[in-house]
Amino acid sequence: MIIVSLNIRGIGGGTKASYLKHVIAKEGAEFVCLQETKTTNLSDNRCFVLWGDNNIGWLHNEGVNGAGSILSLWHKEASCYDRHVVGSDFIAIMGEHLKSNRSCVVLNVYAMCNISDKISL
Amino acid sequence: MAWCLCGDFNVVRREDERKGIRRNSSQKKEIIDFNNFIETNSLVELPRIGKHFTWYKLDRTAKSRLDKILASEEWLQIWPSCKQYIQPRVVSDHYALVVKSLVIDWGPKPFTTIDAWWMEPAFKNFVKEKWRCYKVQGNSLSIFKDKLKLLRPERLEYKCFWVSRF
Repeated sequence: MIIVSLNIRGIGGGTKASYLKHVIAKEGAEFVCLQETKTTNLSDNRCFVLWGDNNIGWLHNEGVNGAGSILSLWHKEASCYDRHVVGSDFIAIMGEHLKSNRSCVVLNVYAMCNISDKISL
Repeated sequence: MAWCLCGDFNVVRREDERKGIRRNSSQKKEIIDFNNFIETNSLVELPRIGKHFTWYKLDRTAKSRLDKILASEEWLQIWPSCKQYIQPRVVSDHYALVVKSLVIDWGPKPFTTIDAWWMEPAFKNFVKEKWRCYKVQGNSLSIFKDKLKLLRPERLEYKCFWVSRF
């Protein structure tokens, strides 16, 4: 499993999007965890542009006033989405990694405050 | 279940993971809580390749290692050589982390035995017997090579026997 994680501090500008696309392509990423996207209106198209591919699944947690907003993206060829849990400061995606045929959870975290909540997952 | 936690935890595991920030008692508690969380959930912080700090204040007066990748034991069973690679900093005041497991191919593995084995008739007979059983085709050189290849895993059988006598 290849994962890219970045606190991007806003995905507004084109520079950030093109950097992200570059890293994803270079590393052959299968899953991407972004923190502090600082945006509220995300669409399929916007996420496809971020990755540079159309076969993408994504889940966005807008947070409060854009603070603590997190975005998880995955390539549908690499993993098969099963279910998710979203909390105030995390997104957990459960699914099957197709290459290894194993099910796993990727948890995208931003500033875990009340850690004990996560254990109950 | 195989778990992987990625992100900006906004907390560190040791005091030396933060520089340029005034220390207070609540930070100490955060560190203890975070380590307890890691321990109680049997998580492991993946080995890091690259920079020590993952966040720099823009004027470089403060730096911390806030971004981390934690994984469960089951995760490491699936991807044993999994590591976190810190990327160069480009667009954010945080560095991007890449989780990947590189399996390095070191090329053909040599055939090895212990010299002492050859002094024992039992080992010679063991090799002779195995050698006769292998059905390999080709020219004499490739037959020799292929038979060594087949013998390679089987010599471990002898090794166990040899070790058990000590």
